[in-house]
Amino acid sequence: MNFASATFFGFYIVVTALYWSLSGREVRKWLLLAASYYFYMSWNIGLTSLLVLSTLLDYVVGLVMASPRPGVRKAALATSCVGQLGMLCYFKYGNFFIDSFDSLMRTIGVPVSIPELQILLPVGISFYTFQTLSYTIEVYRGRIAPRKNLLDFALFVAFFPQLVAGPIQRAMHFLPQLQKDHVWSTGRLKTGLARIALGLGKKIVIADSLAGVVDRVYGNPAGYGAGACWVGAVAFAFQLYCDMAAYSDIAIGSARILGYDLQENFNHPFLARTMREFWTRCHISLSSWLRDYLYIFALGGNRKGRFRTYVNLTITMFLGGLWHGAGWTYAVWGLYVGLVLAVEKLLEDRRVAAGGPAVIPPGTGVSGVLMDGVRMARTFLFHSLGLVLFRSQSFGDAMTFYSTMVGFRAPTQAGAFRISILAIMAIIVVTHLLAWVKERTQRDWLATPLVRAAVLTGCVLGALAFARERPDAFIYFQF
Amino acid sequence: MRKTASVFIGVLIGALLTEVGLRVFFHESEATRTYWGRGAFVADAMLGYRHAPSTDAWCAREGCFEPYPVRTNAWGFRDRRDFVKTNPEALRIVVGGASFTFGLGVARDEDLFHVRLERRLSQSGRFPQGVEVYNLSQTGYHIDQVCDIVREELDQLDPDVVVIAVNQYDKFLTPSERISPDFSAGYRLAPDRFLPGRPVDFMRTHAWSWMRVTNSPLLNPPAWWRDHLAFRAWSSARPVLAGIGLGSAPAGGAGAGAAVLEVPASLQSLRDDLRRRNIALVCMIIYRPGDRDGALARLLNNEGYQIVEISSRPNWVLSGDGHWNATGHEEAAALVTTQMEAGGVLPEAPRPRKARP
Repeated sequence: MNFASATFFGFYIVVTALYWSLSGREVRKWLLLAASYYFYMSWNIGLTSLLVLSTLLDYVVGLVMASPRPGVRKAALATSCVGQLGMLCYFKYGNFFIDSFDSLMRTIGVPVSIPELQILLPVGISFYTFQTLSYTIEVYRGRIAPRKNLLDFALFVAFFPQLVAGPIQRAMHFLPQLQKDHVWSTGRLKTGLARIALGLGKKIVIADSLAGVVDRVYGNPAGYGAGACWVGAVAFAFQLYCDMAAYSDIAIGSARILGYDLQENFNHPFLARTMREFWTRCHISLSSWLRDYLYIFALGGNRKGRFRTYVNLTITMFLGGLWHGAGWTYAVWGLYVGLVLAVEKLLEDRRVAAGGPAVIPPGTGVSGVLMDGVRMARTFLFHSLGLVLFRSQSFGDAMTFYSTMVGFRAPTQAGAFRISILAIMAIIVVTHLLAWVKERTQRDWLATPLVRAAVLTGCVLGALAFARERPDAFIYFQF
Repeated sequence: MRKTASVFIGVLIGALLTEVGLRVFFHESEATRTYWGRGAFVADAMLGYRHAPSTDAWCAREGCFEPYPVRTNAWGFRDRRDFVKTNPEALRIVVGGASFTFGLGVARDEDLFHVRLERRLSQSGRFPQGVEVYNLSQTGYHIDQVCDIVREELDQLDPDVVVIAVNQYDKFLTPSERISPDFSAGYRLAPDRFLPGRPVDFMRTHAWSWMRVTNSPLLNPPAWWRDHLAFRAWSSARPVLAGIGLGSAPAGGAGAGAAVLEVPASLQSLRDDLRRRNIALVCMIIYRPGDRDGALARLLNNEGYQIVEISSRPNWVLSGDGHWNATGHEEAAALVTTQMEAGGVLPEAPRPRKARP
């Protein structure tokens, strides 16, 4: 059930109408849980058992962690990590490991034949696994109390607006909302609908329109010239952002109408002047999860010396890359991002040692603004170049893409994109510019009734006009 | 008050920007559209638009066919005959359809399908009283409009047989089976129809945003239901329930995939009308690249429609275009004649009619 489809809206309207027509907190929660499982079962009924298993495992682990004995708590945490990550590894990376081992053995001249696992990748497993893990880690750290109400915990894991592609919720943020009596609010309805409209606009008008160009260029990078590949690389950066942000917008808007607030996931990432800042603006729920639970909690963050800090950053992003997909291109993309972050951190440390600021303040005056613009462009360039690895089917394709970008190949094919695609990309540039003006001057043009009405009308009409019978799936569904 | 005015202006600006955006974005895909001379169409309250009566408007399609005049009769059909001066004793066939049977891209009227069909049936010698085939086709129509316009002419023409041309763009098919998303019904209420009339007529024929939005798949209530788990469960359960005598089996074969292919209500309603009048209905499947497994023919057969299937010959088409060329019209007429005769579709003799005063 795609968020950008009529099917989802039919489902959502029925659930919302039923939800607000019922009275009683518990009854509503039961309804939401049933709706969430129904939503998940629309993809695959059988794999719902995995969601149930994941929920029950961490529910029980949470209860066990109520024990005052540190050994028991540690064992419970280990059980949760092994269980959750074990499921994730088996279903998501099982065949990847087998293929990699097979290739390795072939390379060293010892061919082995391990049959591939006949398994499907459960939709959303990467998201709900991380979500439940955040719960057990927080309970282990004593920051939240174990949840005794299984209904609450099950709904925290399976809440349908964010179940299959985030934003990954923190237990501390979401669980308290389950204790509240939600009351109908026209204001929430308006803001929720506006958010859904924005999401639909981003997905259907922008991301899906750019998908055609991206698919063509990445499908045959050797066939196109340098210009087409650069456009393809930029278009993919925009497509990925809009696709992910759209899902988050629709999730946040849908939850908002039901009375729940989900965590924000994007904050105009292309305004970032460094890669570090980029990851505080882009896919915030994932990057903050990686920072809090992998970089700081598991690896020790920056507490173990400067060199370990750089290594930890690299390892964190390497694993973050692998989280995105079971393929070496994802892993190397993560490694690339980690190395860029490590180098940035190294330069920052040197700057601080020389008496400079840790974070460069926003530039003032014309030269300062221009310098900020250059930094943003540089960050975007690093990001887009890295995404070539992310999007390519293989290293060979990625290398072909890079070599075409620098003009080492002559095009054999024309017509990669229509010039009107630039108009689509211009929408993102304009919205980022407006956000930049807001950040620097506190003047929010997008909040004025006129601009807001124009944007929302454009999003709604655009989404309806561009909609296709079979909408493209959200990119992050595959993760 | 000021806020309301701002919101109102904002909505107008948003709508305008959407219109501009659509025209910019889809500009290239419109490059090969069909161009019609001014005055080729008139607005129609029920059908949206139709070909203007008694015109000689030119028509062209870039890269496919050169401009040629399209002549319509006093009723707005591409048929040179006077619909009033009919032969009461002749076998009378009415052809309803869209651009194929209209003869888009075919310049000479004598090359058209209905003329060829009439000639072949006349030459067969089976109907010594004569044969008249009337062409009620209108370019760009989908099946609902085709059925409506045929129904509108039933009293006047009182045919023995109605032949309806159906193809994969009609509502028979699941939207995903359409070849291109540009071929939405909105697109087919084409922007090249220059219509006078009410503002709503202007919008539905000139505003790309209006056309696309009013035909958006997101505003298609049946689609809100089709992909649901409950629908899939229901589709699987229906044949089982029918097997034990509870309810009826789904149309078009078992399974969820087949269940989404259904005969449109407009065609069912036309069939009922024709049955009451004792008029035979034949569905002519003319073009179905999106329907390679013959699901359309199977569905119609299962539902008890008489069909003639002539979709398996794709080589009769205009260069750079999927419509029949003159040979296509001729061969289509030959195939239809053969199949109608072999299938027992044609009556032994025309129904008795009173001569018009």
